Amino acid sequence: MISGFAEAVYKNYDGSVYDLMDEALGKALEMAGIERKDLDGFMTTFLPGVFDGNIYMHFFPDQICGYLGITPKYIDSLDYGGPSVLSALWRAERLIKEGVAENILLLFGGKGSDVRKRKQTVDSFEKLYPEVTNTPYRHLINLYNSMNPVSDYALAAERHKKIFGSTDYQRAELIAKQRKNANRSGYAMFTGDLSPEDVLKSSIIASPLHLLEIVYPVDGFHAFIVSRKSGKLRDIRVQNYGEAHQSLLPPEVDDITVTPAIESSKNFRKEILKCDFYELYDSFSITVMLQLENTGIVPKGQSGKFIEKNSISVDGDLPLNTGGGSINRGQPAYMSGSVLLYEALLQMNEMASGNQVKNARKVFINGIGGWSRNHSVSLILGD
Amino acid sequence: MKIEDVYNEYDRMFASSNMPFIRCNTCAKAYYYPRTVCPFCGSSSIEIIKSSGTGEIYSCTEFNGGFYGIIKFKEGFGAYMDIEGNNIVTGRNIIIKFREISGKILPYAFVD
Repeated sequence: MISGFAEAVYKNYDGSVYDLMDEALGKALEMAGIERKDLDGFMTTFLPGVFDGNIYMHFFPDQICGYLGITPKYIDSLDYGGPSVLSALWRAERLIKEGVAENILLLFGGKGSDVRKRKQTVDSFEKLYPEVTNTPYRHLINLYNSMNPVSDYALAAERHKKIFGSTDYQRAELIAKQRKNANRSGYAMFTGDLSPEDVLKSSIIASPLHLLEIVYPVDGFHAFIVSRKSGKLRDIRVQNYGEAHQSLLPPEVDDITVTPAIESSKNFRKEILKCDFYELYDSFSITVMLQLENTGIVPKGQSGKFIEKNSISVDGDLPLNTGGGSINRGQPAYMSGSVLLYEALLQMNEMASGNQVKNARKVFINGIGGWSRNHSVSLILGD
Repeated sequence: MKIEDVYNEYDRMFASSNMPFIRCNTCAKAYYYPRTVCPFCGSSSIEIIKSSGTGEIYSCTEFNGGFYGIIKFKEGFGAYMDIEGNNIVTGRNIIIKFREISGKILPYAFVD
């Protein structure tokens, strides 16, 4: 169970990534009521460019543990982008159950601004390093005019429009509704009135996607401490879990509106429908729509109409991305998984102030990401 | 077959303005991105074949003043490509042309 959780998130952080992780860890330890010496497990991830600009760091988890003063019995690094932290939580719970460790630190993040300011993303970072080839497909992928992941999600949004008749306005409505949640929460990075028309007036980055339906990369770390004892927090655990990974490229699948979320959620669809609130990965507007359909919350092709007709506020039909999502909170180091988990834990511990879901007993969280949406993690947290 | 053999054959075919793809002799599926083992069935009985070089735009996006998308070819395989031509929209038929990009001859999709 989680004994402590914290974030240290900034739009632009001037200092080093090591200061940022120290800040998040310090706050999480305080909540958990334990000290660094009590941490005996460590799980993290490395993405290029977000660790003070380094494209790579040899023996990365060990470097971090050494710096933070942690002597773990167990070290792990999960490398599939945004959903990785959700898998780390599930694995940490199991490791503790097995007696491998007592207090496992999940530390995920980095400085997105370092990459953002170089006008690249972690997926397109090879454009800055011609000697790096990110895929086995070499020039057949990387010499074309792509802008991943934006161009790839734009292709999914365009296909969804073509096949199911979803509209730009429906995607913009989702963004406007998430902004309402953000305004109400009082802890979002981006706030203020935002109408669907405002979203559609923002510049088109890769058609049909507009600037305001694309997550903004920021600087930050989240620290989650998974412990044998729950401490001051509610004793919540992963109730249902699934992860799925696919290896075919989007041009090789029959339908790019189908993601591995279908597979990762398939064993507990009925339970998903019974949750009190929902945190779905929101790297782009279309990402949320694909997950609504792929996890069985909404019939295939109907997510646009669903968004039009339903409220996603904490007292609405389907409380969704209750803190405004990473679209409004910023995406630390190109990964939104920690933002989803952090918000879920605020809600489940009655710490969400003005935006508290009443009687938040169960939450469905879905993370999706990595190269070409190849990875999905679905889980339900509850008592 | 080794991966380098696939790349070399692709380069040879690109240089003579032919569009290659791989056909699995076991499951008969077609794919484009080089692997020496079929990603659909795991068979290593594969061959490189010349495509008709025709297909349609499965999905496309415009950015930085150009078009890019997924092309589904007549033979059943798909690929990412730059797209040029008039009235570029999802569903339109394309033919393959070739040009040099950063020192490599590569195919791109063209809408007539």
